[in-house]
Amino acid sequence: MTIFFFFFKILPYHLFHREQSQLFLFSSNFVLEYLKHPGALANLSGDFFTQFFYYQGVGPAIMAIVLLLWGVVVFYLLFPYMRCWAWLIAILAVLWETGRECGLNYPLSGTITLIGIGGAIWLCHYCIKRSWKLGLPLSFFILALSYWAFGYGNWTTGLYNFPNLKREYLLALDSEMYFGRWQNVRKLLAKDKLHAPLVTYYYNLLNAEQNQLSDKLMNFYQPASQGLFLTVAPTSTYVTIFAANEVWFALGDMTMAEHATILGMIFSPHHTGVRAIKRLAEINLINGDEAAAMKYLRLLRKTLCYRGWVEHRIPGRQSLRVIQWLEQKRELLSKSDILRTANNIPLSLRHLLHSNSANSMARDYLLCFDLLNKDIAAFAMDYQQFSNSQIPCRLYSEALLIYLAGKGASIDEASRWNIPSNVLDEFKEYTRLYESNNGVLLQAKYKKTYWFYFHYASMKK
Amino acid sequence: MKRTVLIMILGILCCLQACTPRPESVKLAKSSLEIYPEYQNVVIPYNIAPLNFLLRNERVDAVSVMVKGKLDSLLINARGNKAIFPLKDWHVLLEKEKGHVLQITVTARIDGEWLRYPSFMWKVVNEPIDSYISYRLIEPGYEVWNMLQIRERCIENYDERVLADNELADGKCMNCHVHGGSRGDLSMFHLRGEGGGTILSRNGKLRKLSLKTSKMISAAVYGDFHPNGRYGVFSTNIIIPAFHTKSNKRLEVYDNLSDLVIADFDTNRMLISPLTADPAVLETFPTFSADGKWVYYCSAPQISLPDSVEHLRYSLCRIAFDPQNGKWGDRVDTLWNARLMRGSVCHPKASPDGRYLLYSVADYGTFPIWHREADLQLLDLHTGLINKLKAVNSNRSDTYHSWSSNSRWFVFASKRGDGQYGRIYFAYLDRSGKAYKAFVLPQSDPEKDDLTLKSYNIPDLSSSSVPFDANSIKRINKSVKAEEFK
Repeated sequence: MTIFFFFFKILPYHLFHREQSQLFLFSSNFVLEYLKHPGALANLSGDFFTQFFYYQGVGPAIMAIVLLLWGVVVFYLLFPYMRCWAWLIAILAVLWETGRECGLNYPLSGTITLIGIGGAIWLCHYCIKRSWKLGLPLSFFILALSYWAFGYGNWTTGLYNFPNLKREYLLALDSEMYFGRWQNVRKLLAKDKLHAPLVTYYYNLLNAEQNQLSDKLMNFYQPASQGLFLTVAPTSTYVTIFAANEVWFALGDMTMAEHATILGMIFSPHHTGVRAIKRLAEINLINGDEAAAMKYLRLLRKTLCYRGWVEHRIPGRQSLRVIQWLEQKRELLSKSDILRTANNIPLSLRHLLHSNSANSMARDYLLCFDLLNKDIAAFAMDYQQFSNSQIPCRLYSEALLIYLAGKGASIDEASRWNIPSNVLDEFKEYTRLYESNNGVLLQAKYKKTYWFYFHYASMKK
Repeated sequence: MKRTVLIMILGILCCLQACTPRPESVKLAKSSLEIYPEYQNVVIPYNIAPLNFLLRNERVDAVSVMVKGKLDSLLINARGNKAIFPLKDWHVLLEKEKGHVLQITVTARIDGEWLRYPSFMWKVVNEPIDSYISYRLIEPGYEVWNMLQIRERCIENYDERVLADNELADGKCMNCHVHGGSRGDLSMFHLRGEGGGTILSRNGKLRKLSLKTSKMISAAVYGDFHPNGRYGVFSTNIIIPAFHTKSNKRLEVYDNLSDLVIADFDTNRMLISPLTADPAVLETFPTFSADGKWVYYCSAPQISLPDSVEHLRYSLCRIAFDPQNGKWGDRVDTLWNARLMRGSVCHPKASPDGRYLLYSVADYGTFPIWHREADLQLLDLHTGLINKLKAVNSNRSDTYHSWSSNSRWFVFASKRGDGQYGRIYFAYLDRSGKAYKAFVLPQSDPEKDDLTLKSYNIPDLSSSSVPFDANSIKRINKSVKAEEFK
């Protein structure tokens, strides 16, 4: 029960993430691949059970049963030698293995292997005890069979692991955003304001989904534009690389979304994963590339947990809800074609806006991208070209005032931009405090303004 | 005791046999037969591995397939939707039926009812295809790789082995494995990155070459062997990847600069011609003619890129080469004018008999694998006639081809099917130059193509197996310094 509650309460997203980054198919070809390698039975059963981590509570229950079995095996192995002290060693062994299961890349098959090896040793011991003559050759056979069935354990992730609560928090955000449970995301963000690009990335994406990106941008830690678009670099983790597709998918740039998804898949531990396959299917359905979508849908159709999801999405058999969703997403697609490099984000966003000026998320991302990079000139140009509101929101008003101040514009000119008078007054006050070097008061009153960010946020290379 | 065991084994086998469903009360199917791979009405060489296939028709739970020839036949009954032929029986059948037409009749059980579909045919030709094919397996991740391998597959069966594995070569990118004259003992590929080089397997030796001199704009990229094996012709390219905004077009790769060079593998010299090193002209995809006296390549004038990429069109050109003296010719001939033809040529490859030049044509650019419209074309070098290979091409990109040593077969990579993942296709060309419908590389399990998330890249045929493996490459990568070229 302790193990169950440990995984259920403390590391539930960790288990869910493990399920999301693997793909278990019900196909003879797929299963036969397992049988070709040592540890066939352990890997097969481990991956088979991992797919059920998809369901809430099932993952912790499987973990509890498997780890309990491991404890029982250790106890039975040691009992003849240690008697009642075997309990202590068994508990320590379970604790050690529970720790190892906290590793993101440590597979369930790792524990199953240990159970298998332990079981094989116990069986050998039993056979030899009954008859040396028969037991010895039989033991060799059992050990050989055990090597094929269980291998020699998974030691690629080290000898031990510990629960990583920071990572669990990131995975929680990632998963809750994936499910669209925005209330839960808000709660998580309110609970722990971790300074990490991935946290800001989801904070911004959540606000953008709710049309509040510009309103709430300055209320949170902003690591320049890395909180809008995650950097994919050799040092990035695959969780970050994969998450990078979410914003492009939401914005409607399916080329970049597909690229980021495939990168995430390439760099994930198994080079696959149901979440990536689902996303690729969605992208190709939106693109109207049915042949490509079917490639991924066929794969998911061979899973236990995603068959139902597939049935509503097969071209020609789509449910009304899916059809409506596809139509909405297709409205965001680029209608014309240009070439851009992967890191030319403003060009991509401007192109989305040229295709569909009502893409408010692309507009806010573009303007906020300019602002977070302190590119006031680009912001002013993009604002004039793409903004469709008469009165700029607070953030944009603040930025426009910096632009106008930089130009040495008059008050009259400021009024032509429809900047609210209260913002104008506050800007005067901010300028006064800034010029008087009153840092304490400035921070107290204007910490959450773009002016403060513009003056004091340092840009890391 | 022995007798009892024997009876038990026989009993189990009889039970298993009896359990295999067989067609009864067969009706004619009203819907059409949907199989993967699309093997209906294709021409096949007698030495090909069994053309296993699966039925895509819904709710199929048993199949019966009769392959009937003039002299022999083969019947399989199986549970599920897959038709998998026994390797030995298949080869016996094809050996007997060389030059004959096989009639294939598929009967499937759907919802408890046996339905017979209209038969289709396989024509078995007496001309074999080269037995080995090498290819790179890579995720279609456009510009980034993680795990990639160059593999070799025997196409008479399903044996596959790894020739190079980037996990054993410090994660280096590996590309462009090509054979010389379809020979297994003459081949090369590039190992990119620090400490890399071009791996050359020639005369029983494995060498690592640094195919880059101060006069070249980059290390060697696309290349081909001279028929005598002494020379290799290469392009040197500054390659830029960029993404389309239109979702289905994905990636474009273009060159900012590109030239041609010939490497002399005997003297470690680079032969450069001013005619193919003009900065105002982009030259790429060079290949030797079958007699080695010409270099065919693609050429386009420099334009503003990427803005004008849709006007970047490559013509098919040739320039003479004197293998005796290692000298380039002094005149460039244009065989296919991009401006007039309104297209862009890529990857010309001369047939070993010297009759044809096979190349792909896209609307524009120099990277046809993401161009849906990219098709193969065949230029008859004797008559100058162009065959658009309608029977061979598809509505997705068909590119990166190579010839079988008898010039009767060619292989190419095609994205037909799912449009994402490249697969290997073979096509037959008869003596009159008529090409036939292409078919995909057979797999032991026809579902394999559905399940794999890797693209088959740059397929290249050879009549024999290459003499190295991934461990040889690991060794040469770690312990051998690349030979310099002057």
